[in-house]
Amino acid sequence: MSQFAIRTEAISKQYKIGMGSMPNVREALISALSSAKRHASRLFTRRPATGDNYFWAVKDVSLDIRPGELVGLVGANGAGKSTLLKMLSRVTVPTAGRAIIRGRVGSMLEVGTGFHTELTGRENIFLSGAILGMSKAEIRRKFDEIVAFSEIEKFIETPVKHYSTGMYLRLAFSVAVHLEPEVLFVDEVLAVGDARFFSKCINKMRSLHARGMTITLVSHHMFLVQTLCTRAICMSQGRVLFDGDPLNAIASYRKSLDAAAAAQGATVSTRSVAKGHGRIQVFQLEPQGDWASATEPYPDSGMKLTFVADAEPNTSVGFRVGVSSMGGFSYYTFYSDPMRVPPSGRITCELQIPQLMLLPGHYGIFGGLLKAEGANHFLAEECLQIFVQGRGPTSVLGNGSGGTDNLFWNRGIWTTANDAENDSQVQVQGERYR
Amino acid sequence: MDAAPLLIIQPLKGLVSLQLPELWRHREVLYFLIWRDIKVRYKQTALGATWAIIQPFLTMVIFSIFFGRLAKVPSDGLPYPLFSYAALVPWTFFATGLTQASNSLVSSSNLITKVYFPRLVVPMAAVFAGLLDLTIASSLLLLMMAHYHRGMTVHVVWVPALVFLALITSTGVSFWFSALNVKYRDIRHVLPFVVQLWMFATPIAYPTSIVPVRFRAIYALNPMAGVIEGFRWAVLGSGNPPGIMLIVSSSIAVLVLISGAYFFRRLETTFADIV
Repeated sequence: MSQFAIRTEAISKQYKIGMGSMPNVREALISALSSAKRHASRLFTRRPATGDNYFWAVKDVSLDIRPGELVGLVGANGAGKSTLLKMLSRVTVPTAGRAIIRGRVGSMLEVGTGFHTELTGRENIFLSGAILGMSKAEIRRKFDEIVAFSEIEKFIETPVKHYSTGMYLRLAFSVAVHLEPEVLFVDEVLAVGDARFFSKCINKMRSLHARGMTITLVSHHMFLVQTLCTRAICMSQGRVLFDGDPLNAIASYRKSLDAAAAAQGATVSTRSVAKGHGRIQVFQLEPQGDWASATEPYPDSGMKLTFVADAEPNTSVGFRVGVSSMGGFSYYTFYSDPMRVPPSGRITCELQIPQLMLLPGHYGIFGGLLKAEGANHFLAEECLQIFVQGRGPTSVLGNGSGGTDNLFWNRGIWTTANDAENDSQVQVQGERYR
Repeated sequence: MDAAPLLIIQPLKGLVSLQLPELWRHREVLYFLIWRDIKVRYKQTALGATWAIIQPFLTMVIFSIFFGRLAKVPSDGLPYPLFSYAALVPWTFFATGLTQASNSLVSSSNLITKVYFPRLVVPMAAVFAGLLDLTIASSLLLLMMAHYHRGMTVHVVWVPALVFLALITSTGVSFWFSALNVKYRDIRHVLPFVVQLWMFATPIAYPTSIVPVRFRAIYALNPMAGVIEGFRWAVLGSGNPPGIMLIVSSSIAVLVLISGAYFFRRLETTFADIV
């Protein structure tokens, strides 16, 4: 039998849509009293029911998560991710199936669980910590660490109702992140505070993982899932769509989103936003290099973009092209010089990017038309999605830790005294959290 | 890792267990919830903890005027204000605890939907937090006894046991009401009447001696009747030791507590989904 930290066996959860007819109080009382005779009403046992009024939030999910894995759960809203976490953290009971968890469980399903606004920061650390499952001695031991992490030393004796939202979230998160269970469940709570604090939270997650904690987290931050997780599961409509490496899980998630959007008659890959008097369109995207290589670790990819834009004649405009992650993190941006719109009102322009330096995955390209005079605001914007293929990163050291936490690749040339011609590709740690 | 406990999560089948060991493991959560309730109860009030005295005191004044002075209700030979206040101290503890605890699950919905711990601690904390108010209110009782030149008797050693009986009665009833309140918010509206009716079915404004003898057995089924009679006897030395009455009261209280806990546990699995 393989060792597991979390195992689910066809775990399912059914909910009722809306509020149907209420069983009356008498009925409820009677069925409660006679439950020993095993004919308790649905109020108590929540047996699977059939009919239009019921739906499966999670259906037949069977997973094995090994100790020390850091698993990302991705999927559209309503895919069942949070319900799954709620069942695993025992907040709600499955309708069918079961789960087995080995080790002490901690969960962060919300930022600020147990916080009371009338109490001070110090008091809330104890209150929230206890509710989340820490002992008093444990909280006392970690108190200074929690306060230091939250960076609100000065306000620790102030009631949290006087805190700014950011301060509140930082404190709440700091308490939660100092839980030290063996199995941790995290719902979409990592993206709190400013970018710097976010990066701190991510590093904390990393160090918990490094210490061997089994972590399962729900996130809509594809960037985070890609860089942090060792495995990702994509869910859709209560079922597991994909389970495996994060990059492919994200691709599966994108596909499910596209499919959902296509079903609604919308296209996701391009969108045109008209803001003010202008229109921009990508006339042509010409890939250059070897984009679709499945053998090279890093695709040698460049591209040429041709834009056609309409704007008010004789005004001055500029183009802006941004390359970003699907999660919305901007990697780099190109600005054109201001140019004059000809009397026809139509302007074309071309951008050549010789080397994208992107790792395999999905990316967003944002083409924007800006007014060059006065405030730097958008006239129009268009977004399109690109997919860079490739074998994926591997390390020459062969330990398999090829570094999914990189953002870019770059080419470097190594030289040693005895072998001046030895060059190889080196990954550069990008500035990760900006 | 081998020694790590296995946690099995599955639908509720058959009889529920009270899982008292688990409740015991979460005693610190109970402690912190009580502590929170006490800390928060009188935050941002001008009079603060004085409210713990004002409530029973004003009720005593009203009772003394209408029942004691105007209706001439007998009071076992005690000054009426002392007679009623000695009953109002444990009663207020019971009634406030019941009211707070019955709404406790609904007002803690943010906890219930986000984190696991035995839900029994929520109503328990609301009741237990009233012990501080009880202590504060008792201090006025001592002052009143000094004022009326009533000495303390040795029976006073029974007070903790009587308070404990009031505590388990309040907790037991709260288990029923708080669990039902999650699904049927009607409870919130029914509760004030229940409390009022219960007060008149308890010897607070009048002594048990005016209850006809043939009804005494039924009367004793109200656990609070035993508590109040016992409390007066223990503190003021009035009447006879309510032996039989207390045995009946205690039995009923324990029955309510255990059945309430089972009922609560039975409904507990649905709390997060319907609260």
